Amino acid sequence: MDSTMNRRKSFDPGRLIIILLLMALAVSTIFPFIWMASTSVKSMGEILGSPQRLLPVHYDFSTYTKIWSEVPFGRYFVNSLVFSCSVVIIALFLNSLAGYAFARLQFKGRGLLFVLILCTMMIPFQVTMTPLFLIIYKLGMIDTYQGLIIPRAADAFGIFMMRQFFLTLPRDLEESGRIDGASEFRIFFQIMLPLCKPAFVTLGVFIFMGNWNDLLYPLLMTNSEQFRPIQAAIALFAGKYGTDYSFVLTGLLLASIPTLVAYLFAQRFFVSGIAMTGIK
Amino acid sequence: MKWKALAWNKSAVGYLFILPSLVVMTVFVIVPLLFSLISSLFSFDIMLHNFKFIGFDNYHAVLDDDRFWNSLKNTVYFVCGNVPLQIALSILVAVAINKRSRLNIVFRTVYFLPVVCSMTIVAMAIAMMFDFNIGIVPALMRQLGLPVVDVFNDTRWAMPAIILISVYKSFGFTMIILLAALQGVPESLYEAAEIDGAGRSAMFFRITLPSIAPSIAFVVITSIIGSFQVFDQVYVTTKGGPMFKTETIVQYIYEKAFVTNEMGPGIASAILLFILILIVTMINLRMGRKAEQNF
Repeated sequence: MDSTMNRRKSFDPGRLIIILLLMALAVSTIFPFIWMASTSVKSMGEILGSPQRLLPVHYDFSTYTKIWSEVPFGRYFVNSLVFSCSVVIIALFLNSLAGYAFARLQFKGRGLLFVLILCTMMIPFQVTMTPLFLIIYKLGMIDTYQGLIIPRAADAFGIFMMRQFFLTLPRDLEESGRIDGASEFRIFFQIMLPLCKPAFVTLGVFIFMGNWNDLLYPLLMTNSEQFRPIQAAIALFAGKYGTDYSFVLTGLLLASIPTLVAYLFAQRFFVSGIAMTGIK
Repeated sequence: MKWKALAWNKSAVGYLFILPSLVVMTVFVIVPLLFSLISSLFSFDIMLHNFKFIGFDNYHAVLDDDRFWNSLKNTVYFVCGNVPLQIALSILVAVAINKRSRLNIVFRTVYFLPVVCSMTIVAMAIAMMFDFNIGIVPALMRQLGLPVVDVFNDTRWAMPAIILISVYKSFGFTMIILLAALQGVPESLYEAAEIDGAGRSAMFFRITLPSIAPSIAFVVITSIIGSFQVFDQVYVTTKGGPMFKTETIVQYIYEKAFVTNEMGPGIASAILLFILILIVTMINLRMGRKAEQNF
């Protein structure tokens, strides 16, 4: 303890170099965001005329009002919110049910089923996407919210993460419930679920970001403006407004706000949440 | 008899718990997978009519296609660039910012920002920054009198640029997982090493790395699996060009299945990718187990 105190007080050139390197990395990480924000408020003339300037001479916020009327941006936003939030709620529930069963309940074929579920993580989406599209089509759910949501209602990664989380909880909790004669369902809902908060926040943010940011899947599952989520919409309108940098960048920035907010809100749970779920 | 019933009851509860997830995954993952496996042995038209058994002809068509081998080569190039760079960077950063301090929390938050945004957004923004005519990076380099390259249209630089985008976007995620692992390394180990007079690098190689080795193995495997499926950043920036120099396997699959409408070869090449990923993962796991035994 003493020696660490001493080391911190004395000048340490190694530590200084490390901090400088970390700062350089931080600046280059954040630079594209600053550039996006500043370019989104530049006029067309400035973008073409003086690309070397980071900050605009005149601030022009017109794209921020134009984007809502020129394209149905609000609609895309709502679509993405409905899609991502529904998936988060349903998937957390189903994944935690399955994760609890794999961690704590005894049943035949448990090990085999768990390995099978883990194996599905290795299947590239490209292998299943065409038949998946056909199934949703046959169910008449192309271009609907339920068609977007239901296939995502459970996933291997979530089940794996919840199982690891339940494994870390002490067994006496449920044993006391069992001695009191509570059913497995009551034990799950009344004893286990309230303990899941850090795991739920972490996994919930992962699921939210995964679905909000996904491109290929919503492109396949929707074909009208009415249900198209925002990433698919952006990829499509970027082609149309390709050279109108400030307009496209405004769209990109606005589309990243919900995930940025979700992360900033959840980040204090993140490291402990991941440590607890034992991905390590 | 009573015991059997009881055991069945217990099992039944377990099955009820996993049933909803199992149904979802069966209908939307397993059934599509089987459908793909079977339909790759047939020829059919875009409307999925006129199924005809043709054996492995779809696979032959893919394996005889130089473009497939080119895309495989590009994918391997991407994996070999992206995985080591990303893992090395995130190990170094995670170790450097492991101690809890206000500054380190700021660093952690900043490094994680690109992870939060979609690959579409990050790749589009960076491609615009590097635009030969109106991007800020070439403009600044011109001002400094440096030679300027049109990176996404240059056969040599396009792939390194895509690798750079990928490292930028994802190293924060690997870093967070490693940070979580570092939390589990007992402080007493470092204190003991310090008493023994161990230097910083000795501690890094003798304590830190071995302690988080399982997590490193985990991120290496997941990052290899993910890298073999690279698509979004290619699709948004180069669409496989220039001269097919950045066409990856998934980009090839996408072209076959949805652009030229060769569904059969498209599905067959997707399954070949799946098999490739399975083999690489198996080798990885085996190597990991061997390394563990040697400790």
